[in-house]
Amino acid sequence: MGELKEFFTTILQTYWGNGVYQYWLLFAIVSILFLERDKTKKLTYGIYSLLVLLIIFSPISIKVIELFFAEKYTIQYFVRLFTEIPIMCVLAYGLAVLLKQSAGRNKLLLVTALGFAIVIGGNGLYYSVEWMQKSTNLTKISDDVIDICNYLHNDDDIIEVAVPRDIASYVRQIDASLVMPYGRYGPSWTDLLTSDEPDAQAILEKTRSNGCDYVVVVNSNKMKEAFAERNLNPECVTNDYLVYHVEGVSGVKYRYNDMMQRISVTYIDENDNIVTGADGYATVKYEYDKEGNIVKEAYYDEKNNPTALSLGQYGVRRTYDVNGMVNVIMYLDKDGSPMLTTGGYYGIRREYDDEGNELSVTYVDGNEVPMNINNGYGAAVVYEYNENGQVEYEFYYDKNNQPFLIQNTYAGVHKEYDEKGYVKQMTYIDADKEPVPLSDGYATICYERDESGNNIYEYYLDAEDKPVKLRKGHYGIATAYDNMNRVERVWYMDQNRNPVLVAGGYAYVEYCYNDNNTVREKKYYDLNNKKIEID
Amino acid sequence: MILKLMMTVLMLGIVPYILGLYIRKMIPCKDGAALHLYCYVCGFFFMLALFEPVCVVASYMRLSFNVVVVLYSVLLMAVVAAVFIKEKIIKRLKLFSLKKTGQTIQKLYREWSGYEWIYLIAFLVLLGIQVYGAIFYFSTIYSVDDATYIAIGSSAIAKNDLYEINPYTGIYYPLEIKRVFQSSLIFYAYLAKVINVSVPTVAHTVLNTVLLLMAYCVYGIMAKDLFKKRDDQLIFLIFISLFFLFGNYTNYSHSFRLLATLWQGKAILAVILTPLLFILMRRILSEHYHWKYGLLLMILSASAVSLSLMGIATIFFVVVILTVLFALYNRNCRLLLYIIWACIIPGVIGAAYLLQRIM
Repeated sequence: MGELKEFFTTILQTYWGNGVYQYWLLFAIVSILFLERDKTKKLTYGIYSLLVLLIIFSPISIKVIELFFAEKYTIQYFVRLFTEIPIMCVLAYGLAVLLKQSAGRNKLLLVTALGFAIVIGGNGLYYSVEWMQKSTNLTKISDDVIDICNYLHNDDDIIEVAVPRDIASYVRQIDASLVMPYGRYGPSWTDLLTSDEPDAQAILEKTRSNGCDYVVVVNSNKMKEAFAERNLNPECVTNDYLVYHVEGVSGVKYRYNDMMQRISVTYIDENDNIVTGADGYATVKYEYDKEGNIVKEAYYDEKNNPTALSLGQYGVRRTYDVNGMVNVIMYLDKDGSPMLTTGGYYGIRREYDDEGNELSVTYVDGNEVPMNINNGYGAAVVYEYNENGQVEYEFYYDKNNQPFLIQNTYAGVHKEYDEKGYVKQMTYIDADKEPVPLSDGYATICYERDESGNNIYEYYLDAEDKPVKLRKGHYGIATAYDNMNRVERVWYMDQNRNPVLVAGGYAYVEYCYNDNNTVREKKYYDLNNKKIEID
Repeated sequence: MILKLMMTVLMLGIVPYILGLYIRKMIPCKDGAALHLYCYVCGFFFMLALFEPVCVVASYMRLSFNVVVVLYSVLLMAVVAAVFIKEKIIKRLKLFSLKKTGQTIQKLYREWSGYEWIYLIAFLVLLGIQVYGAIFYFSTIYSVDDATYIAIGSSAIAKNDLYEINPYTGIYYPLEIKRVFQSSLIFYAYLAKVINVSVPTVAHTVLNTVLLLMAYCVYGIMAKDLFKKRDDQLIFLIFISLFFLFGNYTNYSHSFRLLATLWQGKAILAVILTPLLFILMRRILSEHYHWKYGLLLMILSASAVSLSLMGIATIFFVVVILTVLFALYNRNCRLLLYIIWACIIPGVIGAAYLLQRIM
């Protein structure tokens, strides 16, 4: 009940604010109901308005709206229902009907008095808010945006531009031929474009990695200096913004067809040379079906020759189910035919439930028939979800749809989650959902997590939920993270959560990183913090 | 510039009025002056209703924007030609002769009392402020929804597409059923194309002003409908202007809709179509059931959906609730047939939309 009251108070507050207009409305409705003699007018303006208010403040309405629309938007949907009452008409009618009986000077005085009351009790749109401003042109969009768009417009080429968030909503209204990497909300990195401490290198890298040809940044001396340090001058200057050509850093270049479908992505270095990217190809080319789904992608090297990726594939073919979800991914050889990948399968078939949850993943051969893969994981994984939409069970099957025992031990896993949605316990189970111990003796791993969800402690239980000492000599592992959320230290612990020496003679490991976050070195220490050399 | 102004007057003044004449027998009004206003306002919504099937079908058939422009122009011309032939419109235009207008003003001058002139001048000043605001002022923050609405229209002109390009990024994306039914977004592009100005100009300045005047046409009709005496009618208009000018209690207010974002579908629904439905429904439901009124409701419901999917809620609330109230009051079940007329189009579209959401 209290929750409901709070919800309705929020609706009132959201729609009416702190003014007196809701009281004007009630007054007007009462005035119509009592002073208007025409019953049809009473019915239309008085009774209808009351009924709509009742509907808005009815718990049944909440249920209906929640049923069809996302819960987070409920307040927004509710306040929109007020627009089903022509509020200003009802207000004006309610007041005018009040004066119907008077005439002449008295009426004029009453009109003046009520008029003043409306003015004093209200908020004038043209003077009470900063955002209502006199416009300088008929598009009503700032001159800066128009100047930027005029500068960037190119009839022969597609121009991709990154702009600060405050003008992101307006650019494509003025020139819809421009392409932007994001819409009105923009990712967090767009803060760089308006930063008081500009970092030109970071701006150029971010924009180039999003395929931008130009970047628009805030017009400030610091920004100009930051770009000048990289020998870049603004190509267009407006009152509030600077436009720079994005160059001198590595990134990607997109190509589009006439339907504005992205048909290729090419990695380029700081001199615009084509280079191989982290994914193992220099260019990926896409083909689309009639529905606009990507049905084929093919990989090419720096010389535009077909190239193979980690699974040995030169491309992939995708098919989609009726809901538009990727149904089958088939890996292709140089000629575009299905091929056996190094993973031991030709393709992967996925099935989904009505909510879009993955129900199963099946490895298939070139004819889309299930096949056992050669890494000991059977042919298929089938998922079962809990009421929160989290994977509760996963089971493994062979190509004949029979339970498959991984390491000849378990046929599936059972996961339990904490209130934040992180896995807190994982149990290895047989086909009947009963715990089965692995070769190291444990059937369950339990996780404890910090605020960020990092696994800070894990320990092991047997099939009877008793602590298990692993062969290495520890009962659990404690992990510490650095300020970049990288694993910093890993301690091996005894049953009482004290550090313990494990096989190899060390108690904990310290991790050192390269600039690109890959592990440079692991250092091993004993219980006395003495460094141990391990081969 | 002159040509653009002429095209604006033609497309947003003359054509809606002529279309209104075509459906005038469906309008429950015999009063000469009010009928002209009814014709104009209903004609505009008829324009939107005609555009809806053309645009929706073209979108699903993946036709281009230019095809829609041609198809709709031909359709408009056909209807306008039909009105010219049927209504002998040239004869009707004589009604607007300067001589007659002068005589009417003289008559008004003689008939009107001093107080009525004061009320009229006060209202015109208040209206003038709003028109000035509509032409020269703009919301710099709360127009961000246009990143979707206007960009879809701009894209239709720039890329000759129908809803197939993501308005935010400019890259292809699959048809979104919710948007396809909101054909007014492409209708703005159509207006921009024929008037030969940009879509933001059409929406933010041209429509912003024309729709404001159209809203006051509706309030004028409402004033006439609610009050017999001229001074009461003018006082109603003064109060409504004041409430709009000083009623910006939050950004959900009708004031905000009328004076800050009137070109957006939700705003047109709230401050023009809903009040119009109120006037029409009271009149229609006070008479015996007639299918021609049902047809009018169907036209208005189609235009409501073309403006925003909120139009479905508007039709449900205004038409269904008022019809049930009047059917109970008049003890006349036949009136309930109007619900079917009004809900066929929003019902089908709403069901399709909900089905897609649920699936």
